[in-house]
Amino acid sequence: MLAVYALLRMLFLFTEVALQRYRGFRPCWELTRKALLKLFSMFFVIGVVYWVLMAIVDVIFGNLLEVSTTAIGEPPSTAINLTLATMLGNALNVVLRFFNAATNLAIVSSAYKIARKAQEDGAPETAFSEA
Amino acid sequence: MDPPVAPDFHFKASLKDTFWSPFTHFSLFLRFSSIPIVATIAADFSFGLIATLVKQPFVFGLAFFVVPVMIPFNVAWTRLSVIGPGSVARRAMWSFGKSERNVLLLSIGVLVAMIACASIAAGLIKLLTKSTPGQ
Repeated sequence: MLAVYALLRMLFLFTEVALQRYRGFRPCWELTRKALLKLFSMFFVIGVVYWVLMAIVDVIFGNLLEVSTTAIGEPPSTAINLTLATMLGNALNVVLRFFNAATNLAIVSSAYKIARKAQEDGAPETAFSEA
Repeated sequence: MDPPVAPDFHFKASLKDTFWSPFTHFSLFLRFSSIPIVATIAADFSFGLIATLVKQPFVFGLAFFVVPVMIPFNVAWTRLSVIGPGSVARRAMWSFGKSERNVLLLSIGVLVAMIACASIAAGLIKLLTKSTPGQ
């Protein structure tokens, strides 16, 4: 499931970067396909790290929520979005999501850098028709 | 003619660089992400609160509509990753141009496609479950 998500996310981000049409951004698949597996692995590793962090946040703040709601004697269903623990947990999750987004975008740019480096190293110009 | 050879891709070094990239350019990360982060947290909280008060959990799903505020951040961070920090040095915290519009349209397209695929899959599963004898 995680692998499928990482693959879809990677394809989506590649398209996203391609749409922005940066200087010479025309990924040469002949050159980048060998690096795709490694880029995919990076997505996987970083995705797992952030999902684990988010799960830890959820567990910690979920437990705090349970303790706090039990303490004030309210059923979780009515207090679920009103406790400080939930608010903090959600806020931390959002911040982690943005860090994850930034790292994902940086991974995609690796493909661009590989293509640029290959161009500088003397790969055929036709493979990189400038935008 | 021999096909072009892919340059070396140092996995561990790239992974390390990528992982620390938001911290390496932390001031820029803060500049471009602060508005979207605050907007997302506010949307999560407000729609969560409304969902609790009206006791309708699906209301929380409306918080998803805050996603477009992430687009300028996505574009700015991609520019930074691809071209370098200099390319976004003078960029406003919030800007919405042609690139942002394209990325937003793409995001909407992907979302619609995903919902359509999920609906088709769910419909097929339901159909197959119904038509299978003994179910």
